[in-house]
Amino acid sequence: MNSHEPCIIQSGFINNLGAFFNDELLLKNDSNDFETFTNNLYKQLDIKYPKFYKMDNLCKIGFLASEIALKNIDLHQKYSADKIGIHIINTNSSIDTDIKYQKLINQGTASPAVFVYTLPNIVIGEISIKNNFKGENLLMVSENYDIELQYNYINSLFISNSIDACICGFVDYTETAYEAFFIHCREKQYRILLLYTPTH
Amino acid sequence: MELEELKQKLKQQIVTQLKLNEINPADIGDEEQLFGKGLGLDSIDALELVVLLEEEYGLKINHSEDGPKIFYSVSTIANFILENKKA
Repeated sequence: MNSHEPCIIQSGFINNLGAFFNDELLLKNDSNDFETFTNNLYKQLDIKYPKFYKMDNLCKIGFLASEIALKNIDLHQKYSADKIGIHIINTNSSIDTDIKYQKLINQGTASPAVFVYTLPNIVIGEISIKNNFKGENLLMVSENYDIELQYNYINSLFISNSIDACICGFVDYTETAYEAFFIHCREKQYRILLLYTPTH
Repeated sequence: MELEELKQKLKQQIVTQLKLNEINPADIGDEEQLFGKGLGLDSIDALELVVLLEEEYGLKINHSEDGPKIFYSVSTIANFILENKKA
């Protein structure tokens, strides 16, 4: 394989229509209820990670999309934990949980379990803890999904030998729309497939 | 509220408040360790339990060093509630 060809890449994609592994539909979203859909997907993927139920909605779709992108792959067989990176772009930060937490404050109550999710990069923490990834990681909040920026950043990590593999993509959640997309890529000088455009 | 009734209520509240969706409240042992091994709760769960005690039972833990003893199990929480409600 030419070193500039894309290396083995898998993708996980979730939006309000369903969940996809590469181009294959894994689960259609028959209900309009986010919790029902994500709980069904969690069960279908046969994940054993009860902490999933504690996550906020942004983390849930990011976590599930990463699980799909890493389906049937154990990166630790080939790469050390500190060489596996994560890069995410997001447009609405943690706005969904921020609003929920503000409502709690207005009611004069508190919830540490909600508060901890009032940062968007917690989704990286959840994925890292589940998979024991300890490499470079970054979440960028940007008005648009700038895939060139993501490509350049990750490529610089590969070229500088900072990482040997990574998952990267886009994760966003608002009350009206949600979407998560991850690709898993590895080796140096890979090329992100420039095919993906967020639908919201 | 009697001790047994309180323990059952606490088990239900712990499962709901801490979103332990895969755990049946009835499966939590009265003396089962809540943190570490046992149920495997974490520090955020501990804070949620503090909030639960305050909001549902009007009780505050005045000395943080008492926390591990009070939150050791469902029984220890129930005893703390009954002792301090009487006071």
